[in-house]
Amino acid sequence: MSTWSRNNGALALSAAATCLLVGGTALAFLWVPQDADQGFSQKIFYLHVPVALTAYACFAWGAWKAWRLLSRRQDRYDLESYTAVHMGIIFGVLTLVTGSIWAKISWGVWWTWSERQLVLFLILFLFYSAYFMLRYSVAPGPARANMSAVYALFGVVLIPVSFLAIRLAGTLLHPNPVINRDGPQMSASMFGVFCVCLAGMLALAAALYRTELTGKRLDARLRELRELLA
Amino acid sequence: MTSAEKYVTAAYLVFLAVVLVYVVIFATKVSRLDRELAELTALAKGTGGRQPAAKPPVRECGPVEGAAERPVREADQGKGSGETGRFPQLPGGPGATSARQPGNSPEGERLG
Repeated sequence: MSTWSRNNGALALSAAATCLLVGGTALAFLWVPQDADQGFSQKIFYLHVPVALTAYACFAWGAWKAWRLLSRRQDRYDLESYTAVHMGIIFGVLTLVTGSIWAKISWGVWWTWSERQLVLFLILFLFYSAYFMLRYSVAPGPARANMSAVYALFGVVLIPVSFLAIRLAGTLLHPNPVINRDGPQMSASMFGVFCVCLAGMLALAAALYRTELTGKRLDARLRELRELLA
Repeated sequence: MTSAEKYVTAAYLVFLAVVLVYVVIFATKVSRLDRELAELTALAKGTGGRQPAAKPPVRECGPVEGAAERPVREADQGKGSGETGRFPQLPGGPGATSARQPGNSPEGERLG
């Protein structure tokens, strides 16, 4: 990793995320036509779906880092996996909250247990929430790193199940998938703005990930320094 | 403002609020790290940036250094460290010469 990237990567990602998210939101409200079925409430789609996909991406990134820890045996992957899961939880909370608001507008209820997509995402979210309980119930060291990595890898199995549930849902309440075999299930302008918002959300997650990781590494180094000087 | 508009606005505001809360939490963390770094810098400057000096080695046995130079009361010259008078001091220790004299030895007192 170059020095510039190490020093300014989070800054560049933050700037990109701000531009993409502000631009995408402005386009969603001012340029994209209203949906014929849902009307104005469909505007929440440009927030909810990118947030949900970013949560999946964070959990998958955490599982990938966990796999790297188990295969390479390098300590730094433990912190990276933990930080990615941490980011996934933040975006998971946002997914549940924005999804509930959308459900209230469209279905008249905040939550329904009959919807597979919702319940599977909740299971995924609770599974990764338990990751923290497991992690902090074990003393720091290689045993904790290995246990956390194995747990994060198990959780990744739920991601495709949750992701595909919307395609298996059939006639239930949740809206159709964004893309199916026939291509995007919306107009070109809607799909373009959705892609801008998704890119912005991924950039935001990457910026938060790098910032959080830097903070945690700094914290660990300060702790080591304190022990040396004590 | 319609009901749908209110809910959509609320959703975007929730997103913004979560990001802002995250920024506030991280700012708090950075200020804590800054404070800890300042403490450690002060600590390192106090020790000259080196490891703290090692403790002097503990002597296992033998007379205490410099004890020979210390004055001993005449009444205590035949007593050991417990001041019971039953154990004469080690040869070469303080008051060893006087301890061997019959008048000053406890045994000498009893035998005499």
